[in-house]
Amino acid sequence: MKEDRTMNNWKNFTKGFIKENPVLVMLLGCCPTLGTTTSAINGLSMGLATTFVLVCSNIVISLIKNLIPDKVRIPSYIVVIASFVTVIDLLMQAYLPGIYETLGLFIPLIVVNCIVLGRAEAFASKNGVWASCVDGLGMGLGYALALMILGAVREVLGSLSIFGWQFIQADGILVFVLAPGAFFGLAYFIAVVRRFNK
Amino acid sequence: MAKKQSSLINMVLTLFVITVVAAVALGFVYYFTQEPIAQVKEKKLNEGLMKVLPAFDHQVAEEVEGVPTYKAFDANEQLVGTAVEVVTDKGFGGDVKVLVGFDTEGKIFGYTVLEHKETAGLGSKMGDWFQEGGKGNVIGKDLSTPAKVSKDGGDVDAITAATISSRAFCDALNKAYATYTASQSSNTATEAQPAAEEAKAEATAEPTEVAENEGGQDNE
Repeated sequence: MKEDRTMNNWKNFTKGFIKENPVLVMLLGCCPTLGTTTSAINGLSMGLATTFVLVCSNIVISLIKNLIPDKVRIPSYIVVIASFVTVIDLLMQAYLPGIYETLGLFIPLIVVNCIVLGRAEAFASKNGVWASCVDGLGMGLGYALALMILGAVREVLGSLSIFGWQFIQADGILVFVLAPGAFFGLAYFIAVVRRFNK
Repeated sequence: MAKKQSSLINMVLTLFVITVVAAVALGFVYYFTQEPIAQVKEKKLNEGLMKVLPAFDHQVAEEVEGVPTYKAFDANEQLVGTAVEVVTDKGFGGDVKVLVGFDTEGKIFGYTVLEHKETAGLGSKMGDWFQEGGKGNVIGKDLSTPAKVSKDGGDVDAITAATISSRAFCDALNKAYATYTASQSSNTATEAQPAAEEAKAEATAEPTEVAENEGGQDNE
């Protein structure tokens, strides 16, 4: 029985990386994915900020799920999520001003990221605290990983640097830093992952 | 525990409790982050001022026609330069906020872009492009003839493939210069009728002391 549980938790954790990756398989949260992945570090910080919100909101929602009448569950979830987003927004402003500046508008927009509400509705409202926490962490890290890889690819092609380190002093293929590059990158990324997911 | 019924009273109560708890929690977080956030902003402003002004000892912040202006003085209360924080809405991606520093003769001493939403890799280059050694160097420029990109018949070299951002930057410079001129003329007014103007200045300006500039060694 115990082993079964750990297996289950492990599954809950790992499914977010490839099998049910929020961006690459479920195609959720595409707006910040396209918008913030201009560099690896931006993608990673956006992913980690979302992970924080996802884990916290999953925990709280799984705790209070029985206290919330069905008909008002969505507004209640949104309030919980929005509170955590505001918390991370203020914390980043205070302690990570550099990253906050580049991500700017996208941090408050985590509120309407469908991954967060999606996990609250599909998982946290039906499962226990621990499982929800693990699910949030797995999904969040899967999201962060996807964003970081996409950001790294765009950064390498677009500005010939990786994690801010310029390896060739020249201009890259500019289109990859711009919005169309985000679509190209994401499309190929999804195609590759789907090929190996079969 | 069974799920709560969706009766009116239950729904209203639940939402009320949740929002109250959330509001209180956020109040706490706000309270604790308020000071670090203010410090970060002040630090950023001071770093900006050090970049755009000659070595100074302390600065006085004031508003000239609603635009934040910072006058920098040396240890002997001599004015060494004026910095103007100006916003232009002509940017490609939205507002561009630039801090422009003028020396005592009204020439550009330095600038730094505080906020922008220009395209990464194109317009976002404006932070370096117009600096000394950059291709569109504007440092030392006298703005009594307004700054214009070369495409519009001016003498500022626009960023390659980002003419709109460059135009916005020139617009910011010209606005900053207008504010600078206004601040200078209000200065002469102060000398003419000190009593009235001083009272007015006290009412509008909030002088802020800046920490010692450590001999201005950070001033690059």
